[in-house]
Amino acid sequence: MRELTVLEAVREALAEEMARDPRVIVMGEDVGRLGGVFRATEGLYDRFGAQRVIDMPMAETGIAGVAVGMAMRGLRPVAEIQFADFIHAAMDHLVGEAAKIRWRTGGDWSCPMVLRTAYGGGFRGGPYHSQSVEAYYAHAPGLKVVAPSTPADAKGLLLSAIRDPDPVIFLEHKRTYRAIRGPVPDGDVVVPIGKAAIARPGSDVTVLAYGMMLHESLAAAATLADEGIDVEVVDLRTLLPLDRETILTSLAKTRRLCVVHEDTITMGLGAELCALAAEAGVLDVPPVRVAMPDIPGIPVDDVLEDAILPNRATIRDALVRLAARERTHGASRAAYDPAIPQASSTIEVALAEEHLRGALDAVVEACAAFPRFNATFAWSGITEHDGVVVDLDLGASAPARGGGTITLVDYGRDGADLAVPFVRPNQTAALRIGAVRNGRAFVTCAVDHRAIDGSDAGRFLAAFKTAIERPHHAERHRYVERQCHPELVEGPSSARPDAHTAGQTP
Amino acid sequence: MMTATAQQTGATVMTNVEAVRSTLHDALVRDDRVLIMGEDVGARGNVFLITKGFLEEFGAERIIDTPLAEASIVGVAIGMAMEGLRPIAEIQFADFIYPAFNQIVGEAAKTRYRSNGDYTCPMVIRTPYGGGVRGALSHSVSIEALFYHVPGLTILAPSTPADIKGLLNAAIECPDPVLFLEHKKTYRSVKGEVPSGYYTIPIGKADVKKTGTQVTVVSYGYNLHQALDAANRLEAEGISVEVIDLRSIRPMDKTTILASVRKTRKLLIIHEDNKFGGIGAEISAMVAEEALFDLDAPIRRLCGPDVPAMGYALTLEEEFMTSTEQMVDAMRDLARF
Amino acid sequence: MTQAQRERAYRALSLARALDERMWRLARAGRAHFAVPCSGHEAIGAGYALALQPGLDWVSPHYRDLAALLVLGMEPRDVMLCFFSRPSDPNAAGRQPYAHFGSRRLHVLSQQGPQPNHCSHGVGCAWGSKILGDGSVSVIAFGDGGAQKGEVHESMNLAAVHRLPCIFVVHRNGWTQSVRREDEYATETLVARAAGYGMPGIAVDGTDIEAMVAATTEAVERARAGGGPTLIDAHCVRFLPNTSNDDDTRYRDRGALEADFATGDPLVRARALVDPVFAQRVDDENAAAAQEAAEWAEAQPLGDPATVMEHAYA
Repeated sequence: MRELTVLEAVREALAEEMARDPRVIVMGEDVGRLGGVFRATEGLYDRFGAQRVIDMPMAETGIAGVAVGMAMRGLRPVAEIQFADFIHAAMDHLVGEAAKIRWRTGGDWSCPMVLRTAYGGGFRGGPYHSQSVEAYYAHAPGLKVVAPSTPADAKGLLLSAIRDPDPVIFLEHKRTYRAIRGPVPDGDVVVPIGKAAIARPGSDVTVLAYGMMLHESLAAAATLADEGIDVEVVDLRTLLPLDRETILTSLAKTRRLCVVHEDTITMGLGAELCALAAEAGVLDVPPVRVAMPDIPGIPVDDVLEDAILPNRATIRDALVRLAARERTHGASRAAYDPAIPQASSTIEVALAEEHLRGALDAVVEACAAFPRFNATFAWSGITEHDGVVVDLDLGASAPARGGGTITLVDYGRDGADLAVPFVRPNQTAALRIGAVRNGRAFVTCAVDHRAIDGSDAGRFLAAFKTAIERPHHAERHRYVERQCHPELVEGPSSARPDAHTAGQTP
Repeated sequence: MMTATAQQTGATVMTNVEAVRSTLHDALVRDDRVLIMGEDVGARGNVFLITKGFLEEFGAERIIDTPLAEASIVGVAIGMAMEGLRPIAEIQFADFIYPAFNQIVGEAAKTRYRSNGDYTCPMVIRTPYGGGVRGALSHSVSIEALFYHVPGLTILAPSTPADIKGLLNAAIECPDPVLFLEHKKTYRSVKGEVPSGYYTIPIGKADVKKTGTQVTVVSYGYNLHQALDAANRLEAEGISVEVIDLRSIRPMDKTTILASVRKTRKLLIIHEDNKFGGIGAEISAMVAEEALFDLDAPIRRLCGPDVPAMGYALTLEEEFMTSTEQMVDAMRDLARF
Repeated sequence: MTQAQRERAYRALSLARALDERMWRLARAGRAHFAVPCSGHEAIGAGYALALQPGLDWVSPHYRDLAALLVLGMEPRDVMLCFFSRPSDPNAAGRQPYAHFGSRRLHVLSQQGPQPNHCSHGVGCAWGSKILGDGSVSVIAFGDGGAQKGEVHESMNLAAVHRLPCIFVVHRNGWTQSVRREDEYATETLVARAAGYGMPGIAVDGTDIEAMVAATTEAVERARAGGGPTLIDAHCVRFLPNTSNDDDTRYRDRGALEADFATGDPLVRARALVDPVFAQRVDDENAAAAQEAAEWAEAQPLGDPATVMEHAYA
């Protein structure tokens, strides 16, 4: 079979479909004489003429709106938004109009159009030439959203999209355009919309991915085969409507889910995919999303862009952890005492990966300022303790042993970013340090609401933050260590810190 | 429930719409930089009469009737905000916000980030959302999920008069753009006590509107009030449901949600917006990631159907809106799971 | 216009008014949720529709263009089905409120309301006419409120650049719901905008049915001959509030309005063109037809809730 790039496959599909169906119109900025900024429409203008290959003004609202009108009129417009970043101006026509036309007319009208756009980062495009936009459109019933990753799918799905009786948003990852080459069958071979594909079969973990991240996921999976981790990679291909059957079948087998997308994490498509799995009850361990952090744009700076985009290394890392995760259902049940009404508060702190000693110091210091957090509640009265005994909970391998005056939970990098600890019996407060990400972490304080007001929990956290972020704390640590944690300083270096008895810091 | 600052001297009972109106009025009196702009906010006093009398009291320079042009309403407000004013832009109905999408997502949300903090965009975009008022396709939509995905934006959706006052004050104070969503079916149907004097409620804090032990319900908007009704009905059956009012959509109060879920071990998310890719998806994903081992039942979502819009005919609209009875059933099922 | 054409025009104006008044009363009485009055606007819609070839030409109407729909062939019962949101409504099957018109049979593009999104749809439709070469033209009608959106700018520019067979008709009533003309645009009229796009502009008294037909006919001939688009600025008086949810006493002087309408009522002006006995008979027939249609439509069943999922996709 011949090999094409994704870009060549898109171009071939457009040319073949224009030749097959005279109603097909290609329109957009620079699609004519220039042949598109990526050359996806190269040659179409010369072959089919200005009437069918229309250079449009820089007016995305108009491009989408005119395509809607053409589609209603009986043409098959394939409109191009040059970069997905510019699609926002067309949203009203896509979500407010195209998606609703069939439904709002009881089937009298339809809107068979395709809107192609180049999305995704990884080539120093900056905040306005790198965005992923699928999540906005996947939330709009009435639209179909397609995101192929291979040349064969790019061609086959584009043919399907143009022939589809409903509006299709067709997302082309611009890094795949030239980087991804693969076999493409000759002739009129369509790929159905709404069907995912198993890009790599496996049994231990399921990866759901699309676009350039599919290829990064496959690369990560390949390196794990030697280590005995058998990863199944599902190429979603169509994001709306989602192929629930293929996804849930895979998860029923592996029971472990990793979603990979380039789009920002919160409310990205991964949210729906995780929710789907959580609802179906097919997971043995928590799902993992590998995605871009929640920042407003992709920076153009080489180092920053590389740091925030998921890649085969970060995916691999997530998969190793996911495969190793043990099922510990009900872990927190014993710690929870329903008799304690809890309130909680969270603060973000700058934190190094290695921070345990500093954290213990900071707990002691904060307790000194707020003795109510180092106390025992009884209806007859609240007893504030003289010394601080930190009940340290480092996770399943080293859980808290009880007997302290305050609890500190820290599951390290395998823990959640943000989670609420439980206040243990005979204590009034508990702190939990979330996983450190890029030098920052969330610290949550839960309190027994009968003893401590929620606003004081915030003040206590502020004191904790001041203490743990204080400069030159290395020197201070040595001082406090001697004061508070003699076994940390004096014991063997491998000794696990248990409960640390200490006097109040000065 | 709220951060009680100085000057609280009592409380008044008012509806949600009155709370919006009085909070805006106080803000205009308090701060010369505050101005209101939008379609019909002047002479007509807004389609819900929220700004009734403002034009006469504050003048046409601060109460600006704009043309029917949402993109420029938001675009101009961004420019005003960058220059130090505190514009409160109104999109008459949330359904009309799409033409302004580029200005909100592409510009307002990115202003601080792309200028490395040199410029900020302290503006509030207020808009009535939600259905159940025979508003059909273009007066019923829920838009929170579209914007929830946008880092750089703050999204608030309070559901009671006291929360509206505290959060609208917080929104006006906020140094970054805030999308302030008001469920129009609650405007006149929801009434409550509002403390006197100036106060704010911290952005990003949910509120446990009812405590319970067996099921956690997370909701907001009109659905919240239905969920509270449903939870109260179930008390009689001995089923104890905790109802969390999200109030802030973004940032979301993961802490409160997780604390509750770890207690009840069961989660039901209720929202009016359609299910696929609605904010329930993110809440569910977050809880699955953080607390799967603490759950005793799959996470459930009770949401609008995945159809393109809410219908106009009463039967179609009722089919779209989740009923209190459906909520009772879903809560009971989950409690018994 | 021939006398037969004048009588046909009068029938449409009179029927539109009769339906409008009936819907207004029913909405005010709480029998239906939403009415969009067209009183004062009738001659614009009827005028452009009379200049078109039914079954060939296309319309993206303004939501006050009930009269155009009637000229194009919509029946009073269809109008009332739409008003009462019944599933057999040919416009929206009960899914959209009244006046959000659309009918494939009548070549009326589906629209979502007064937002001028349908302007670019109309341009796309006209582009289809050019590509398909069937000689059809498209009318794109909108209000002077909607005309202040970027959407309309992009649409008019594209139509002019590609000399598309379309006619932009702006209903210039001077109000965008409550916002007066001075706060909407700085010029007295909008006709000068045509020159800015490189298309002819015609200012017309939109309450004069004959003037409206003549202006549209000229524009249609130009469009059909390949001469490109035209902007028609049609002035009129919006006699009633914006919709049944509006209270215009908050911002309009009713006395001045009544005085304006005394000279600017298109129905009164059209009555002068026909025999008074004929006019009275037509008015009586239409009042009866409106009543019958309303009673019939209200008696039709509402949609089955189970159909809510239908027509999301093919």
